[in-house]
Amino acid sequence: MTMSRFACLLAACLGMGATAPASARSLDEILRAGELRVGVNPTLPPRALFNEKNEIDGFEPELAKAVADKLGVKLTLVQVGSPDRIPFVVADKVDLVMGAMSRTSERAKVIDFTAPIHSENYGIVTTDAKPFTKLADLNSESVTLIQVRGTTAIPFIQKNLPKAKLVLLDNYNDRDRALAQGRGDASFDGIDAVAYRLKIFPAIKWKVVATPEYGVTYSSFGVAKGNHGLRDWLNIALYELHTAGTVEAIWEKWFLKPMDTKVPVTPYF
Amino acid sequence: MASLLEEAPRFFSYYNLIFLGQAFAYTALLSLVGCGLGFLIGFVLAVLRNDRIVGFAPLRWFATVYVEIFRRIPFLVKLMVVFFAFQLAGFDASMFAVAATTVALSASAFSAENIRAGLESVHKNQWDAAETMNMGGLTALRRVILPQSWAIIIPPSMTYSVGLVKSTSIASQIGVLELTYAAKILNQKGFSAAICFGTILILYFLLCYPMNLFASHLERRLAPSRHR
Amino acid sequence: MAYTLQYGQVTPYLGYLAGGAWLALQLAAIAFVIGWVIGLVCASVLEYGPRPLRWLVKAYVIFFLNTPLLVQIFFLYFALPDWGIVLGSYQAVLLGMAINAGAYLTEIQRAGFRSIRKAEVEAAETLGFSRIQIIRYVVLPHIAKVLFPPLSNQYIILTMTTSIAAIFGVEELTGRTYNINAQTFRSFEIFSIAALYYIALTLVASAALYAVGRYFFRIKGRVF
Repeated sequence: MTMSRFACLLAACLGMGATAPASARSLDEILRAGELRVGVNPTLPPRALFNEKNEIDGFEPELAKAVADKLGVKLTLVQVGSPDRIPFVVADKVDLVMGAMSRTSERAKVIDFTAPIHSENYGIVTTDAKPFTKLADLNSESVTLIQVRGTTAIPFIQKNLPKAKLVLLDNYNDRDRALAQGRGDASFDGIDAVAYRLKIFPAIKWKVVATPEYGVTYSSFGVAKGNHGLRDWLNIALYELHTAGTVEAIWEKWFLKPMDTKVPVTPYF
Repeated sequence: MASLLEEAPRFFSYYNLIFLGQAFAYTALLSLVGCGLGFLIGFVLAVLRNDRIVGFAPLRWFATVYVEIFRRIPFLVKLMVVFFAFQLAGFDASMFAVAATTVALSASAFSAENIRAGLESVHKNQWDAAETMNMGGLTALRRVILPQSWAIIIPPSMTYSVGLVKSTSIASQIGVLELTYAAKILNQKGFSAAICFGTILILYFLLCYPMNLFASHLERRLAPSRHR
Repeated sequence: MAYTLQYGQVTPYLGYLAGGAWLALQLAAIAFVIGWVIGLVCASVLEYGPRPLRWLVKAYVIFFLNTPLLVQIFFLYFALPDWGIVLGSYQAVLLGMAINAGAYLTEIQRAGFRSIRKAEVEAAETLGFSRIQIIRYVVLPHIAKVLFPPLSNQYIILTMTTSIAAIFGVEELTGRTYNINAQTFRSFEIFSIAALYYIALTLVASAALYAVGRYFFRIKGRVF
């Protein structure tokens, strides 16, 4: 390899290529480029994951493929992390971002959201031996909750379950393993993914208690603020994918169960 | 032990080996880019700190403060500061760039100190001698001082680079697909923690041990040639 | 995007962070003491022990010097339970740091042993020094002079290393920083303050160790 080629490679690695001011690609530009760039986070199985061949796969990539097919363009998956997924769309490195994008009014100040893709349901993950049946059961000094740092459940727990002891780990994988190893009694968080995630601990008798009292949130595609052409098209595409049963089918394939709360589909946006 | 042997064939599948190989290369590239860049910055800082070359005191102070700051922040905290600083600056930087910058900052602070010590190991009479021969500061550095100080500079730099290779494991925190991150992903797929982390411990060893051996080899070979 | 730094929003947490800094210092101190003992034993084995034991210690030192602490702790924390050993977050981090420091401190203390000069001890014997006097006046000052600076450096490096504990849920300085970040979203502000805490911690430690070295061992060189 010559020095200049090596320098090019380095520049590419360091992301010093295009640093032009970011302006989101419109629907027209995406069609012209023949490519839809979608950000997914492969550390959140089964939403997105590395499959047998260590390629990115999962619910979101498959849905993104269905969307790209409707648009008639090639799909390019871009790996994003939890903290940087919104900057990715703001900086126009992806056209739309997934990665468990819960719609919140806070986030909607920075990016635009489409209609919901799926619901997000919450509950208690624990083992068969534990007696917990509702959230209030966790509010006791003898309960150790294992949670993931920086998630929305934590302020809720600190406010509503102040007596429980908290252990904060770095990610969901570490949380699952810590629960499996008996380092705590339970975890309160999203429960959609657990059927898939906890498969890797066949020896443990898991128990998942839904807590509808906490409420339901919805997850959408995120697009750059003001990119309404793309957002409106995505809404129509999503309507078609919902009514054709495609979203639910892909969901059940990856999450191994029907969506706990159905997304109401309406032809109006 | 038996369960490890049982899962080994599944773990060392063709695709996982490629995955680990790529992660290994990424760790190596991250270390190389970070340390290389850091060494260059460190060299400039060391020159700035040398009053034989740079007569401007504030520049020397800047170099000293820079070194004192960046060698005293833990890698993880530095990584997060760099990550958020890039975000604030609206810099369109990849996670690799964030991690490489963090490695470079760490390496530069150490190298500056280390190169300074190397330059100071050459007796000051030699600077005077070079001056009498009408050499400027930089010429004296290049033709008189540096050839004699490499022996002092290189071995500890190598040893420190090994430390930074190990530190790159912390870059897994922001999702750089290096060895530790790869192990976490394989662990998430259900392979035991023992085989995932055990394997990458060996891979890190294969990267670091030769570097350390080379460093002590250089130290032994270069040491006698010191003239004081 | 215009973003104004707002350090005001994180100042209420400075005390909480200071508590974390205190925990970090404790963690470093305990790990250092255990590592120091490990190092002393291993260095003695390397110098005076039987051959198979020496090989074992050598393998330990070489392995731990050439693999990352973070992965070592991952192994202790997540892999050991497969063999029935469940270490808590704090224990796993402490053990990992101590074993890791032990490897470095073995190397350092072996150099200390090597620095004792036979001739000096013999000279002292000729002068009629007792064994205790030889240790007190000849061996110890020598070893101390050789060992004090690298041991001090190692202690300061350990102080910085404690930040890894955050990844395992220990609420020390970095762990608390993550918590505040999750509450305030003032990420740059709070992490830069954490960085300042570490700079202050290690500067104070450097100054204190310098003073100790200067007063007790007449070492003039700076620490870290």
